[in-house]
Amino acid sequence: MQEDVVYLSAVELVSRFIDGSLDPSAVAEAHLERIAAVDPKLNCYITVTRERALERARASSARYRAGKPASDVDGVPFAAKDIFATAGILTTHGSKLGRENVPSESATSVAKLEEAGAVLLGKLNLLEYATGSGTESGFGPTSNPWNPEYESGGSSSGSGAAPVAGLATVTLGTDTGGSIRNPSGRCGIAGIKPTYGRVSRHGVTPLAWTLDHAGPMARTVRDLARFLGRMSGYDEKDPGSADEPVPDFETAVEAMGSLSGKTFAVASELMAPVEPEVLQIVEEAMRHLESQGARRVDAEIPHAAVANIADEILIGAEAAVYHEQNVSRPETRALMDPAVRLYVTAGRTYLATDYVKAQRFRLVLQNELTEALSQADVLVSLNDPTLTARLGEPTRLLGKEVRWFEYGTVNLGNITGFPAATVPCGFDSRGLPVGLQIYGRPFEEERVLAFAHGYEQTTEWHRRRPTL
Amino acid sequence: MTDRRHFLTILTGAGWAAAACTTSEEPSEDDLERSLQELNQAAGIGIAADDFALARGYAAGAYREAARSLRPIVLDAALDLPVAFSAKRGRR
Repeated sequence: MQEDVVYLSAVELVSRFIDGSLDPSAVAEAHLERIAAVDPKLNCYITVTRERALERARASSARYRAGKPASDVDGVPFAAKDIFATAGILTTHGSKLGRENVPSESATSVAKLEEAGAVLLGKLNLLEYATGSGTESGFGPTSNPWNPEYESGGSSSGSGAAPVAGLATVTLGTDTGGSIRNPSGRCGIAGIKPTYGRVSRHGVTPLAWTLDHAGPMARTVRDLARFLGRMSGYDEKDPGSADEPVPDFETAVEAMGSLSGKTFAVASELMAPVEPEVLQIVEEAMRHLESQGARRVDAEIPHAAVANIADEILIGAEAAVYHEQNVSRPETRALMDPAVRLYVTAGRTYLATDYVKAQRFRLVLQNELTEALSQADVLVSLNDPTLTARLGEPTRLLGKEVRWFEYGTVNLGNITGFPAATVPCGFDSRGLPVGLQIYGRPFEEERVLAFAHGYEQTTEWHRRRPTL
Repeated sequence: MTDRRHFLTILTGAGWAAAACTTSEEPSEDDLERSLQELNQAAGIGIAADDFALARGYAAGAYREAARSLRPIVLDAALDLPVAFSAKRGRR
């Protein structure tokens, strides 16, 4: 019974809250029980807000009984990466430096969801300060639910692992260099990094101001669409916020969800270098898209690979500024993970000319991605060319240890600001998930989500559950 | 105390700065790390010694990658900085 409830989608939950066959309090309780039973194996949560969640769930139950739900996410259990500020709740940024940080105001996206009645279960583990591979959380690593000996990806590690483990229906993540898409792919769930400016970052601890994005992660694309709609919109508190109309993503996804007649572009630059096993799975997914009536066209993004070093220079320099005081004081420096200090220290040495060139170069990639998308609805690529590493081991590509600025296909999304989603598309020989990445034009998330939904609805990958 | 002449000598003579920015020669990893260390000390960047020891190989790798792939790209002078990011069409 408990397992069935915790694996219902947000769409299914709300439908059953409305018809009275389920109650938000019971659903919150079921999730909290499962967190208590399962999370010690995985370490998804840094903080579980049990009493607060039950109180909010009871209020939600009352609204349904009165026939007046607050919204289409009322009563849905969600959890936020512990980099989203939450009023009155510990917000650590995944760092021992934040172990006493209790904000007085919630991040805009968390506040919007709570105002809409969604029930916050707690705060999720992450790679410290949302930095990249090689970093550990100040609260220990999050294991991959498919095999606890392996990493769950990052930096939104707990946000990737929790939904597939049945520990939250929807989670919130952030993405500065793939940090929503990487753990989504590693854990076998869907995730979307929306267009830069679509979702407010107010209240989200910065990693790099010009590259940070926030977005939802979930087991189904339709849940992503519903939550993205609730999180989106202009926010004067975020200088990067875009004043764009917010469409009804979910309705658009339902209306456009068939793959028939759609065109997807594939750029060879985003398909190599790659582990052969990953390529085989992704190529099979592309053949499946064609078998469902989608047309494949070739595209070019000549400078795609340069996005990785450009992203490194921008993140390094901006993070170095954010952490200037943290790394200058011995008492704070000692509390930081050495790998975080490595990243922000490297950033302090980067040349101003490289920083400016990397910023200007973003327009080159925007133009190239725009051109690649000119003949297609979306562009499809590898999500991550590497196989998931064991916990504590470095990432390797084709047998060679790689630094994250030397490979990958996700940084293109941060550099351009274009939206990109990930959906599960298979499992490797060790039983670990592999993701498929889908790029779209700015402020056309509905097209990206519709394509992802079309794929998801004709495959079974998203229905698989790990044994826990 | 570093005087201005020594500071300029390091800046203009630093292997990574000269090689990576003005010539197509690829500096060696050792040259890069040594020059970064000199720059850190002379220019008052203020990176603690143990942090520098952690980061120098990573930073040198990033410099080499930037020298190989980013710096050779010739950008149109008309390209604006993405202050008005075209993916961000804020109207307020």
